[in-house]
Amino acid sequence: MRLARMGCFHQTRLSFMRALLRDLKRERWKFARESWRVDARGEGVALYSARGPRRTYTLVCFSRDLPAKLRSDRVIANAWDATFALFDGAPDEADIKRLAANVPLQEAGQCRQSELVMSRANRSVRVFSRVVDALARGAQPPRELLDASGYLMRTTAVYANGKFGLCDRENFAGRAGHDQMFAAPFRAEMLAVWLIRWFSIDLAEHLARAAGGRKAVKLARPLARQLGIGNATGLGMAPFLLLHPALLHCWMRARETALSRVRGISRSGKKTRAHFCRALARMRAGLSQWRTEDRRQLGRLRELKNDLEKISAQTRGGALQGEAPWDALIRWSRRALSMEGQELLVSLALEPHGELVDDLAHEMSVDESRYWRIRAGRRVGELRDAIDANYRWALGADYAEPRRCARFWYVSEEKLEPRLGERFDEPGAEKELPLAAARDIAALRASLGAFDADAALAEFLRAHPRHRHAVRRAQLAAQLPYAEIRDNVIAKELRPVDLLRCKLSFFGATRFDPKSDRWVRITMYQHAPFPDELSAMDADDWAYPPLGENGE
Amino acid sequence: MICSLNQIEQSARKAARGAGFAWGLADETGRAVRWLHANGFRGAAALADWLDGDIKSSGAPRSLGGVWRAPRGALDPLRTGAALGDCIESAGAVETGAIAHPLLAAGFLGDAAHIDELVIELQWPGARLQCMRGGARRGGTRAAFEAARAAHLKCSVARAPGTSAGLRRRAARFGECRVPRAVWLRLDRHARRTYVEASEASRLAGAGAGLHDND
Repeated sequence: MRLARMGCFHQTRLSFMRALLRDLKRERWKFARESWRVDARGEGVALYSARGPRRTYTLVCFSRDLPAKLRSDRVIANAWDATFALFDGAPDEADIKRLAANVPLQEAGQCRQSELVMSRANRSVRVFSRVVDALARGAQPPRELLDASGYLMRTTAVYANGKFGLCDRENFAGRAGHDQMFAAPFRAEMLAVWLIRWFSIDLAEHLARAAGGRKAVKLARPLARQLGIGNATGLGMAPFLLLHPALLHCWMRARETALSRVRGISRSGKKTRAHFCRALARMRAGLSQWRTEDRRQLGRLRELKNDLEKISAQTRGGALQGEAPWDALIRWSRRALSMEGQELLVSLALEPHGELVDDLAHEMSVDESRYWRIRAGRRVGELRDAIDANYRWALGADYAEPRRCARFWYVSEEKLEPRLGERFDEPGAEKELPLAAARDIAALRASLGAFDADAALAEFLRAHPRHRHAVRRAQLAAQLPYAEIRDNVIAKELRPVDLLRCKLSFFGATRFDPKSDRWVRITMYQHAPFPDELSAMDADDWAYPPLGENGE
Repeated sequence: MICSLNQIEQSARKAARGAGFAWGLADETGRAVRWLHANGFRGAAALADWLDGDIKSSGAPRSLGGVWRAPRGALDPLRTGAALGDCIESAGAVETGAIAHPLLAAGFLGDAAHIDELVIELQWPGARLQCMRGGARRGGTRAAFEAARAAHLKCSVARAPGTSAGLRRRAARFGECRVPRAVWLRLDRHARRTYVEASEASRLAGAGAGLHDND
C-alpha cells in the first residue's frame, strides 16, 4: 500500500464504470432522450431518462454557447458549456425551472434531495468544432482526430452525496424503494457521466445539423464509440482516499481478493488463455492512443510498451500452460516489469476471469459509521500494541524534520477546496487538515507511551482530546488491513497525482495524462456502448480499445 | 435555507474546528449535529448559540467518576458529549452536574445509539429523550430541549431492546432540513477560521492547473 505503486494502477473488471454497465444490462435498464429543446447556437435544455426496475432517473442538461475566453478547466471557473443534474424521477416544468436557476451556477446554486448528482462540462475546443464542421459538411471526422482527443466534452466536477444540497447518500444508496444498484460506490456519478457522454454526441450532431442543414450527417457509431468523456481532476479529489479509510480498505480488498483468486487457479484452459491474449493485443494496439506530454509519464509509457512485449513473449513461450500459471506470471512480473507494467498485468490477468471475480464489484461499499465510534472502554496498552503492530512504517521517523513535514493540506478560502501548501514558505499551516496519519499516529503513540497502560482509553482521551482523530484511525486500521496508505502524505517527495490516479483507476478511467504532480486528465467510457445500444451490445467488452480490421 | 444533512454536518464540523476544538472532536460534533437534524432537532442553532456564547467559562469533565462536573462553570456539551459516548456503554449510567446546551451532548449519544444499536435514555430538567437505531422518542417542552443550560443531565443505557414502532420519522428520510440563513451564517463565521486565504502563488500552485486550458 505505497503511493508509488497505487499511482500505477489501471482500470480492472471491478472498476465502477464497468460494473455499472454490467449491472444496467443485467437489470435491463431502458434509456431514452426524452426532450431536446436546444437552439441552433447550442443553448437550451435536454432530458435523458434512465429507467431501472424500480425508478426512473433523469439527466437534466443545461447547454449554452460559451465564449471561448470563459472556458476554463479549473474549479474556480464560473461558467461552463454545459451543466447537469441527475434528477430522481421525471422532472416537471417547475422542477426544470428550479434547476435552471441553480444548476448552471454550480457551487453558487443550491440543489435539493431530488437531485443525486450535479456536474458540468466544457467542450474540447480542439476537437468539438472540427467534428461539428466535418459533420455539417456531410463528412465523418478523421479517426486520428478522435484518437488524439478521446472525447468531445470534459467534465470538471461531478458532485454528489449531499454537496450543495444534493441528495445525501444514505437517502438513496441501498435504500428500499431505490434501485439497489446504487448501493455500490459512485454509481450515481458514473451513471450521470455515461449519460453526459451521450449528450455530448447529440450536441455535436445538433450543431452540425444547424450549420449544414440537410447536408449534415450523424457521427458514425463506431467513430462515436471512440469518444468517451474527458475529465480534469486536481487536488480537490486528493484527500478522499485519506478521509475514507474503510472504503479504501474495501476497494483494495476486492482488488487483492480478485487477484488472489486468479493466482490460485491451478490450470488455465485454451479459451481463458485466448481471452487474455486478446486483451493483451488490444492493450498493445491501444497504447499509441494513450498520449501525454508529461515527461515522467512518457518515460513510463515507453517502459510499458516494452513490458507489454515482454508479457507477449512470456505467453508465446507457454507461460500460461504450466501449473498455477497466473501466480507464476505475476511472480515473474515482479522481477521483469516496471511498476506500471506489473499493475497492468494485474488488470489483464483479471480480464478473462469475470465469473470468478465480478461478484467482488458488489463488495466495494461499506457502512463507514461501523468504524466511526471510538472503543474507549479498551485499555491504553491494547491500542499501543495495535499501533506497534500496524504502523511500524510510520513510527520512528522525526516528523519535525523539514523534509518530513514540508507540506500541509488545507482548505482554500477562495474555492473551499482542499489544497496543498508549503509549510515553510506559505502562511496557513496552523489551519492544517488532519490528513497526515503517519505523523499523527506517531504522536499518539508517544503520548500513549507516557500513559498508564491499564487505564481505559476514555481516561486517555479526557486528558489528550487532540488525539481523538488518531485514536479512531488506529482502531479502524487494526480491523481493516488495507485502510492505510503507508506513506507520509506531508513529505516533500509526495506526488498527489498518485492519489488521484489510484482513485480514478477504481472509477475505470483510462489514458492518464498528468499535467503536473497534482493535476491529471483522464478519459472515461471510451469505446463503451451508448445507452441506446446497451441492450444489443456486450456491456463489458470496451475497456481495451477494439482492434482494427487488420488487427492493429 | 433548505439543505442536506451532509451540508449541516460539514458546516458544524468546520465551525467547531474554527472555534478551536481539535479535529477529532470537531468531526464528532458534525455527526452529532447531523443526527439532531435527522431527528427533527435544531442542532445547528444550538451549536451556533453555544459557539457564539461564553465557551471559555465551561470545561470538560474534571473526572469520569461520580457526578461529572467541570472544573468551574458548566460542562462543555461537545467535550462532555464525546466523553459520554466513550463511557456510556461500559458505565451503564452517567450523571452530570450543570451542562451548557444539553441538546448538543444528546446529539453525540443519539449518534452512538444509532450506530451501536443501543437504547440510550437521556433526561434533563423538562426534557426526556430515548435514542435508538433509526431515531428517537421525546417528551418535554421545546424550551427545555433548546435550553442554554441545564442543572443536570442523566443518561443510561436501557436494558430492554428498543422498539422502533411509532418512532418519529427521521426528518431527512423523505424531506429536507431547514436551517435559518442567519444560523448558517453564524456557523460560517466560525468555519471560515479553518480556511487559508489564497495568494496568487497558491492559486497557481494550489490546484496545479494553469489559468486557462481549452484543449
